Amino acid sequence: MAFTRIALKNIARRKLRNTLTLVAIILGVMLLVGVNVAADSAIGEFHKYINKAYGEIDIVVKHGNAQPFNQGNVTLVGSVEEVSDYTPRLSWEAAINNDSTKLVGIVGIQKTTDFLYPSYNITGSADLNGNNVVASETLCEKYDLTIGNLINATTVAFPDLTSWNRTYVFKIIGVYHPRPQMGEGDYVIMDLQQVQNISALQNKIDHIIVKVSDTRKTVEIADEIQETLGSNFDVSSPKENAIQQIQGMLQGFLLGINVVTTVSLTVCTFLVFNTMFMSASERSYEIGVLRALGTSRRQIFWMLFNEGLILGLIGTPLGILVGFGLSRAFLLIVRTFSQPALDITSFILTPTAIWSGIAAGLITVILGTFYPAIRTCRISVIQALRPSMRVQRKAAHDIILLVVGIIVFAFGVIQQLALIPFRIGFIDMISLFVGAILMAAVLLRKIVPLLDSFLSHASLSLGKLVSRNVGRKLLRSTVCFSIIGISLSFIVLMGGIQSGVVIAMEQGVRDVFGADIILVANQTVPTSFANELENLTEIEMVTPVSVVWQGAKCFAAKNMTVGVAVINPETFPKIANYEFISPTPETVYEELNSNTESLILPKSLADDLGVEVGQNISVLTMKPNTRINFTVAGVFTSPVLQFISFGGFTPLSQSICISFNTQRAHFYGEDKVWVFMVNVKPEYRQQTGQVLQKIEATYPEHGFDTQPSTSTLEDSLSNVRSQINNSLSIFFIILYFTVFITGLGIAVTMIMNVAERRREIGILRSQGMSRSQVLAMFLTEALIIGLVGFIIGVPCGALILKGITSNMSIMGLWFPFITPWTIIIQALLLAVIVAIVGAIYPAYKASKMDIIEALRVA
Amino acid sequence: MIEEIVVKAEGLEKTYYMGKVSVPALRGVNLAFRRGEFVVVMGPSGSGKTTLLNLIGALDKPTKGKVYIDEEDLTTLDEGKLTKIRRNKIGFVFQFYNLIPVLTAFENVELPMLISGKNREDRRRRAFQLLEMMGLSDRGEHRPDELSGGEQQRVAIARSLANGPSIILADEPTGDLDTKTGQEVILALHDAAKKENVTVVVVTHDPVVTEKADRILEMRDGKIVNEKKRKKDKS
Repeated sequence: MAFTRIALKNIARRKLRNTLTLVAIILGVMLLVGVNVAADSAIGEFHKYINKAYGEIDIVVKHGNAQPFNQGNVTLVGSVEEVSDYTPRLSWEAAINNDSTKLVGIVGIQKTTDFLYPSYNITGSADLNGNNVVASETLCEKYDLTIGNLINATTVAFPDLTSWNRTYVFKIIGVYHPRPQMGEGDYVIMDLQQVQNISALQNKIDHIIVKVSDTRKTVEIADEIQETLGSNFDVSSPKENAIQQIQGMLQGFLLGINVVTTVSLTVCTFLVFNTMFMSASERSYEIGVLRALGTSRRQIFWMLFNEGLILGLIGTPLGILVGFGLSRAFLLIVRTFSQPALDITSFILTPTAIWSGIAAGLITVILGTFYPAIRTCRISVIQALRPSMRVQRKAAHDIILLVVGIIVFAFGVIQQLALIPFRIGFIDMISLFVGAILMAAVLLRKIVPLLDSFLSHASLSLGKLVSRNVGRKLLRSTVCFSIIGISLSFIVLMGGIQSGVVIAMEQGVRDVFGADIILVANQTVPTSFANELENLTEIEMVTPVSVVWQGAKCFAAKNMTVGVAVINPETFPKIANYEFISPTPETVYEELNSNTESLILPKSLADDLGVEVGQNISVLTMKPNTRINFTVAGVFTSPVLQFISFGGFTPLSQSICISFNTQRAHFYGEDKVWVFMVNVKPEYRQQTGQVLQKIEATYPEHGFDTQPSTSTLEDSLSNVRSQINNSLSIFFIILYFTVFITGLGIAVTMIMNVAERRREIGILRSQGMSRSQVLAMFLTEALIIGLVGFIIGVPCGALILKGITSNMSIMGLWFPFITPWTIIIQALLLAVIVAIVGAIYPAYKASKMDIIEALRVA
Repeated sequence: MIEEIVVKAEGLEKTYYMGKVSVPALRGVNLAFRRGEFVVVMGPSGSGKTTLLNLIGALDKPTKGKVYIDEEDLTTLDEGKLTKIRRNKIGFVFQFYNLIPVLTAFENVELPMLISGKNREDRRRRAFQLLEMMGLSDRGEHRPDELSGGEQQRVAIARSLANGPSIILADEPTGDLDTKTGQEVILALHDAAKKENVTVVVVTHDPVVTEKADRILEMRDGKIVNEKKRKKDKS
C-alpha cells in the first residue's frame, strides 16, 4: 500500500510526461474499442435489417430451373424434422388492361396455412376469395387505385408464355403496406387456387417458404430438405446466406482493422516503455536511498510496476468510454460498406468490446513497464547512491550490432520476397523492423561526423551540438524513431494496397466492360436495337447482353445454382476482352455460337464447380425441363468480376455464359435483352458522357436514364475508385491516430531530454546561445529522429507490400506492386510534422528557461 | 597608466519575491572594475555574491540601479542584445558541470566561437592556443568524463577566453576541487587573464584564491562592506 502511495506521488510529480503517456494509452484503447463497437453495431443493425427483410422466412424451396413444381412436395418439406411451419406460394404475372408495359405480379398464397400472411399490415379486408385481391401500396400509388377498384388483368397460361390471352377482373379488397424498403413492387396477393386456375398450373407451386424451430440449425435443416426433395430442387436459406455474405465481406476488413489497431497499440507499448525507462533512470539515486533504507528488490519492482499499472487502470476505462463515444464517427466510414446504407441508431458496448479494451490497455502497460521495473530493481545500491561509481553498461560493439541488424533484416527481406519456400507469418515482418532498427541505431551513432558537417551549413554551433546529442541516450531515441518508422511503414503499405487495388479493379473494369458505355433498360428490348444504335454517328459497335432471370442449377463436382448471362458470340468478343485459359478466344466463341449445348464460365466458378475446358456440366434447363449436358467451351480469367451485376441479378462472377441460340433452345426469353454494351468511335472517346445523354434522349422509351447501372466506363472507374478509397479510409484514419501517438512519444522524450539537460542549457545560454538557437537545437534533434523513422519506414513498408503482392500472385490474383510517390511524400511530411509538433513545446520551454534557474541545477 | 573601467555598477539593488515574502539580495552596490584586474569577492552564504555576478554577467536584471560593461548600460538592453554581450564580452567559469558532456575538450573551447560564427581556421587556431596556454594541448580529444576535475576547470577557463571577452566571471571555480588542484586552477586563470588583459571577478570562500587578487571585496547582507587592495593603491 505504501508503495502504491509512492507510485501515485511519483505519477503526480511528473504530470506532463505522465499525462501524455496516459493520452497515448487512451488513444490506443479508444481506436480498438471504437472501431470494434462501430463494426459490431453495423453487423447488429444488418442482422436486424435481414430479419426485417426476410421476416420469418428461414428457408426458400424452388425448382432448380425456377419452374413450377408439384404441390405434393410441400408434404415432403413438412416431413423434415425441425421444420416448424411451411407454406406453398405461386408467383405469376399479368398485364394491366392488356398493356405489356404495365406488368403486375400476382402472388398466390394458401390463406389457411400461410404463416406470414396474418402479420401483413393490410388496410381493408384480407379475406382472399376468387378474384378478390390485396394490392400492394406501390401498385395503388402508381395507378391511383384504392379499395373497391377493379383491375383488368391479362395473363399468360403455362407452358405457352408467348401470348397474353386470358383476361380477369380483379377486385381490390385491401391494400398491403409492407415495411419500408421491404416488399416494394407492383403486385397483388390472391388465393393460391385462383392463381393456379388463371395460369393453368393446377396443383403447381413455384416456391415453398419455410420457418424452422431453431434458427441455429437453419443450414442443416436446409440440407435435409434438399436431400429429401432431390438435387433438382434449389433449397436456400437467404437470411443465413445474406449474413454469411456480409460477414465474409467484413471478415477481411475487420482483420485489416485489427492489424492496424494492433500497430497502434504496439506503438503505445513502446511509448509506455520509454516513459517508464526514463522515469526509472532519473530516480536511480532515490532508488538507492530506498534500498539503503531496507526496501527489497521486489518492493522496488512493484513500486515502479504500480506506476505503469495505475496509468493503465486510469487510461483503459477512459479509452473504452471515449472509444464508445467515437464509434459513431467511425461508423460513418464503416457505413460505406452497407448496401443499402443502414441507419444505425443504437450503439452497443458489447462485453467483447469492453474486455478487448481492458486487455489491450493492461497488456500495453504491463509489457511497457515490465523491463524498466526489472532493470531498476536490480541496480546496485552503491551505484545508485554514487553516480560516479556507476559503471556504464558496456554497449555491445557497434559492429556486432550492425552485423546482427543486417542479418535479421536480410532474413526479413528474403521472407518477404519469398526467396525461400519456408515462411513464418509475422516473423518476416518483425525481422524487417528489428533489423532496420538495429542498423539505424548503429548508423546514427556512426554518421555523426556527416551530420555535423551537413548541419553546420545551417548553423555552426547547432551542427556540432545536434549531431552529438542525437547519438546520446540512444535507447530512447531508438524507441522514438522505431515507433515513427513502424507507423509510417504501415502508411506506405496501405498506400500501396490502395493504389494496387485501384489499378487491379480499374484493369478488371476495363477488361470486363471493354465497352465505353453500358446501357441498361427498364425492361427487355429486342436485340435488333443493337443495329439501330450502330446507325448513330458516334457509335462504332454494340453488343447485347442478357440474363436468364431464373438462373440455372448446375450439376458437376458440386451442385450449384448459378446465374446465366447471354451474349452474342460474334459481337461480344469485339468489345469485351476476356482471356481464356484455353483454347484461343476464336475457337471458344466459334463453339459457343455453333453448339447450343455449350457454355463458357469464369475461372472462379469453374474451380467451384470442379470443371475444366472440354468437360461437361449438367444443367437443368427449361426447355425441356430436364438436365442436359453442356460442354465447357472455355474458361475465362479476369482480374475482377464480382461487382458486375445487372439489375440485381447474380453477379457475372457467379454466372455461366451462353449464346442467344442456346437461350432460344433451352431457356425462356425471346431475343430480348436488358443490356447493351456500346463502343464509341475513337474520335468520340472523350465525349462518352454526351453520347450517353444523346442515346437516353433519343430513346426515352427504354428508360436507360432511370437505371443506375447505365454508365460510361469512366463513371464506372470513378465509382470503383471512390468505393475503394472510402473503404480504405478508415485504415488511414487509424494510422494517422497512430502517427499522432508517436508524436506524443517524441514529446515525452524531448521533455525528458530538456529536463536532463537543464544545466547544460543554462551553460549554453551563458555562453551566448540565443533562445532561438536553443529552440532550433531541440527541434532539429527531434527532426532527425523523425527522418530516421521515415528512412526505416519506407523500405519496410515497401517490402511488406512486396510480400503481400507476391502472395496474391501465388494465389492467382493479380495485384500490382506500387509505392506511389504521393504516399512517400505523405510519409515524409508526417515524419516532419510529428517530430516538430511533438518537440515544439519542450523546445519552447527549453528556450524560455531562466538561465540562473537552469544553472542552479546540480 | 590608468586602466580603463570595464565594469561599473551604480546603486545596484536586487530583490527576490517569493510569494508574499521579498528577499533583498543586493541593497545598493557601487563598484568599478578596471581592465586586467583580478578581483575576488568574498562573503558568507547569502551575502549576495552570486547575485552580483549574475547581474554583472547579464544573466539577470537588477531591481534598481545600473550596470555598465564597456560603457554599455545592460539595464536598457533587450534579451537579444544581452545574449550578444554574453557571447562577446563575458566569459563564465562555474563551480561544476561546466562543460558540455557530448563535446570534446577542444570542441568545448570552440563552442563560444561556433556560437558567434567565427570561421573554422580562426576557431581552430584560437582553440589550440588556449588549450596550450592551459597546458592541455594533448587532452583536446578527450571528453569531460575522461578529464580530471582540475583539467575540466582549465578547459572551462580556456573556453571563457575563446571570444576575447572583456571580463571573466568565475563562481566558486575551486569549490569542487582539492587544495592543490584549486591552486593550479586559480594560477591558470590568473595567468591567462593577465596574458589576455582580461578582467577577472572570482566569487569564492577559498582563501587560496585571494593570494592572487589585485582587490578583495567583502560582502555582507547585500552590500560591499570592505575593500582591500593587494597592489599599491594607485589612486
